[in-house]
Amino acid sequence: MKTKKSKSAIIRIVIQIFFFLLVFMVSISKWLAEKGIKLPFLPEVSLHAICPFGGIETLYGFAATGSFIQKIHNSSFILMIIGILVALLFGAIFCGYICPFGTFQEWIGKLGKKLLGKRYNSLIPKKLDSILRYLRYVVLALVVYQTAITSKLLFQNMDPYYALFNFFTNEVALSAYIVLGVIAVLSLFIERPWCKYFCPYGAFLGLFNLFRVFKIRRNKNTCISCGKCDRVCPMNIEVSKKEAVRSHQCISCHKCTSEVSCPIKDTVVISTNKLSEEKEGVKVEA
Amino acid sequence: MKLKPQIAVFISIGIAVIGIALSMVLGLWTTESAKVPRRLSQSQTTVQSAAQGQGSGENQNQVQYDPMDIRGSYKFSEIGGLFKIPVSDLASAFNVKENAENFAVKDLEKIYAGASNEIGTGSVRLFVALYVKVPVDLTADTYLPETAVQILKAKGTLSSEEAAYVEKHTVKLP
Ligand code: SF4
Ligand code: SF4
Repeated sequence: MKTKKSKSAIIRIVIQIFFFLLVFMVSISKWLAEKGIKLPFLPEVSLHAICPFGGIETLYGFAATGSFIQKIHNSSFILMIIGILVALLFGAIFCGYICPFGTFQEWIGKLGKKLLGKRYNSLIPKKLDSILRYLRYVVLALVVYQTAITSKLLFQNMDPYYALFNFFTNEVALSAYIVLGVIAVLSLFIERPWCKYFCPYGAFLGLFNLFRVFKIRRNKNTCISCGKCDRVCPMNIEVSKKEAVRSHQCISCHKCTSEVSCPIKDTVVISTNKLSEEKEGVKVEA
Repeated sequence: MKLKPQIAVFISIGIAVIGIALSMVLGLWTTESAKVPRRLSQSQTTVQSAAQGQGSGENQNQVQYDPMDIRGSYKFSEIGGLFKIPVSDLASAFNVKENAENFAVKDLEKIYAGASNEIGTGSVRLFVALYVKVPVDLTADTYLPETAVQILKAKGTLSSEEAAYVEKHTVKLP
């Protein structure tokens, strides 16, 4: 069984830290630029300009009037298109590796795991949890609708990601700070509560899991049903009961894969093809 | 075809880097708005021309922008250029004493932080719309400083409804 972190897991941590710091530095650079201080090598762009969700929020306005809604720029639109291309291939990999708010929740969750042990991330009754998982589609519909009728970025007033990376400015609404606080506390009990129940961009990207080209696939012939993939999945997906993960909740963190957690080589993999026909020798990794 | 997780994520980051680089080369990557408001619809332009008492010839070639699309990041000089309003009128209307050319609309909130009613981007939109005679929604509550109201009245182009509206929506300055 694996004891130390795999290469894939380490690469993921490095990428998460990189994007977390990058977004933080971009936000600081913009704030300082407004005060007349320029930081070398960092662009003076607002967080909206580097957020792919802005592209989705402005879609209706763009189709109707040919212009973007307030605070949204070409760059958001381009990032949205890139996000769609990547999601078509690999699903919500943005959530699993890049989104700094996902990373923030994950880091708080590490403390929660220490405090709660096995009870962490399993406190909400399954039935209620399975219903709540669709709440983020309600949020997505509301955000798109509200933005379409007002042409304003109203979601900013509730957006904990914006509050986290702008806490030092005077641009954050009290409601966004409250949402951030609630999510931070919830993250001590539930892994990625914002991603699971509320995030409209995660909801959008999650839809691509239904038809993405490279799926997370389990080879049932080599699987020993140890359930490790289920236990490590932050989104509580029962990978051990599936041949291909099509859940809209999968964030493509790859924790369940044989490269990271599954103890049997080539059993949970990222693949375009069905694995059930493959019969490979069972080999437990050292 | 199988991929290792790190290959999948490097391909994803690669697509992002290439996509951004390509859009930069094509001149599509902008992280700021071009600061061009949307244009008025045909019907709004017709109403505006009628209100200005213009025939079909004059002003037809001038692009008509929608004052309601003015953003908080717009500077007075940009608004002046887009809507053909002297920056001095904007500065006097909103009591901007220094560096009016570079004054950004969103900074009005600082000047009027203690005002009895909000004076902000909406106020500039209303002022510009009334100044250039674009029809405005008189059911919403948007306020103007009394200096802005004086300038509009002095122009003498307000309709009776508009005059009554601004009268009711004037914020007296200390
Ligand atoms: S679901 Fe939302 S908050 Fe979570 S990782 Fe994805 S984009 Fe980020
Ligand atoms: S199914 Fe695997 S890749 Fe998807 S969220 Fe769970 S652990 Fe991550």
